[in-house]
Amino acid sequence: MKKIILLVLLLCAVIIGGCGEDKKQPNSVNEGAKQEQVVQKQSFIVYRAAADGSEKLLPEKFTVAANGKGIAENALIALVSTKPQDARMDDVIPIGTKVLSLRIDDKGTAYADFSKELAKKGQGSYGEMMLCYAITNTLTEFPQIKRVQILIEGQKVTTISGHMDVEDPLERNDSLLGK
Amino acid sequence: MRKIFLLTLAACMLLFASVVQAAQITDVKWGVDKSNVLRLVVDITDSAGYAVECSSSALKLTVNANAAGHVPKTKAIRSTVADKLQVIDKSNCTEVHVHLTKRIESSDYKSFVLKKDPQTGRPFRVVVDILADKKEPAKSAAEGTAVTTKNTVSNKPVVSSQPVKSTAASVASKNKSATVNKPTVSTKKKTKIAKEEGKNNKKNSEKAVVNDKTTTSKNKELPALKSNSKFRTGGGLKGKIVTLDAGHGGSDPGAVGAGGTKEKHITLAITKRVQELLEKEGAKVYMTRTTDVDVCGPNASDRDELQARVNVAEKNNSDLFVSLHINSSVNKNVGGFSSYYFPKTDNDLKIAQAIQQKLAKNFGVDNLGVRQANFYVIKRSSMPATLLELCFISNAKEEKLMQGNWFQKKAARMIVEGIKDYFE
Repeated sequence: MKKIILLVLLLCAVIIGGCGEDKKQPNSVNEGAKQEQVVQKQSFIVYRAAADGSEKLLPEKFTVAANGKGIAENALIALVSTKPQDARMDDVIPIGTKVLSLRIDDKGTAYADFSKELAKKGQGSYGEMMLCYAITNTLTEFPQIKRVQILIEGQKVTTISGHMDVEDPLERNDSLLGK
Repeated sequence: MRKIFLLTLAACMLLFASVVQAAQITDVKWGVDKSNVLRLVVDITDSAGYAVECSSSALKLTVNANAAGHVPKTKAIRSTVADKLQVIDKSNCTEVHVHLTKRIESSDYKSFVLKKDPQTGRPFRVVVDILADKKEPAKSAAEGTAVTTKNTVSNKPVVSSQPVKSTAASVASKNKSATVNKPTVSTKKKTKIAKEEGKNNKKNSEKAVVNDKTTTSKNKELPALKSNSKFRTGGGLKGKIVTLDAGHGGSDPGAVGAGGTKEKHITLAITKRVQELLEKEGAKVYMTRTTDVDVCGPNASDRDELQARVNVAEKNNSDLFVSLHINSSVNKNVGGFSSYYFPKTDNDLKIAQAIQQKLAKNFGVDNLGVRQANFYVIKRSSMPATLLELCFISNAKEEKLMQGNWFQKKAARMIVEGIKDYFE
């Protein structure tokens, strides 16, 4: 009988221990980074605003040669520094904007740091919203990124151009995705 | 022997249950209202017990839930009573420490819970309000002299214990006619945190909400905290308080058209017409600006500038907040009206729809529809709000259109009709 009690206790301990571990999010960031170095070419999707003003984001496929940078950072750079190749898409990133850095913490928040050109005044709310979610949805394509904090020159900002509230990290917005 | 076995099994199951059912804290927020009351709000996925304890340097809120990974560990607070909050993970619970910059007494804060609201998507919340400005310092000696009030939180789930909030509610009802300094929710009476069952807790949280309402309305000397039910939504436009916000202004021109038209000028012109028409209908109107100025100041931060607009609405206990903007796009062909809302109350969508419907019907311009957006002024205002985007300044045809008297007059009239419909 004593044995049974011990067994039950042991079982409980294992279950509780297991539950405890489940709560910690698996750290997949490092694994992702390792894989990236092995792959010679990187393929990813960047999201562009639909040119018809329908408040939709359209996916554009990209393939770049591996350059030592993480795939997420390369996707962000592609979004910011290239023009869309499809006439159905608009470039909503203000001219001159540069990606300063991309840092991903182990909780899944990506800190995307841009030069000050990104926070251009005078964009309508439409442009500002598309800009924010083109960035957020492009980055949240990668499983290790759950949300995106937009930074300007390393600093948190309240808004990009006076409408959007970007004080807190933005989550992916699937309702904007078009075909 | 059998008994021991069963007992062990029961104990194991209890422990197991506590691990599985644990609610999670998803956010810790703060805000300061017009009466300088610092409000701390803890968002939790499910109902959870809590306790508040106060010493001379910190207010400690203990919640029987673990904090989610993305909850920041520290946050700066801009208040005259505290400067920082810390979220500290304990094994079975989470402590939120509010670093006080001045001494407060047990009568200077109160706590309550708000139940989950599926309609606005708000989670279960634990709220602590801290009075930064004392009305009458330490008058009621009986309650006020205790510098430190201790409440203990049992880390183990207590299955049957007196539910926390029922005491709070009964104390509050006794307090309705009491003096100002008496705490609405006496923290002394709370000695144990019960791991409450969902149903029980729901009832209690409802009581707590009601309690909050009665104290704000009946005891006028207490700071009038905004609760979601404070704004009026029906009974006609007459006598309603509406705050109008002409987008941008002063150092911020907003969007600029190819012909040089500035958004700030068009929004102000239309907003003034809306004001005039609303006042004719008997509404009380407050304007965030009536001239070409920054609402907060030319050198204010973006946040201060946007918050200053929200503050006008809050300060005047507005029933409705309407922000007028002109849109812009890199694609010069895009045009049309859109109305934005943030789903914080049941009425945000309603007001956006009411106005959009009028605008869409009465102009030969594209109807881009009602859309949800994370815009600062409509998200951070407590009353129903909408942000209107009246055509595109980047579209040459619409730029010309919006400069004309006809458009400005008619847009204003349609907005007022939408607001009228909303209050019907």
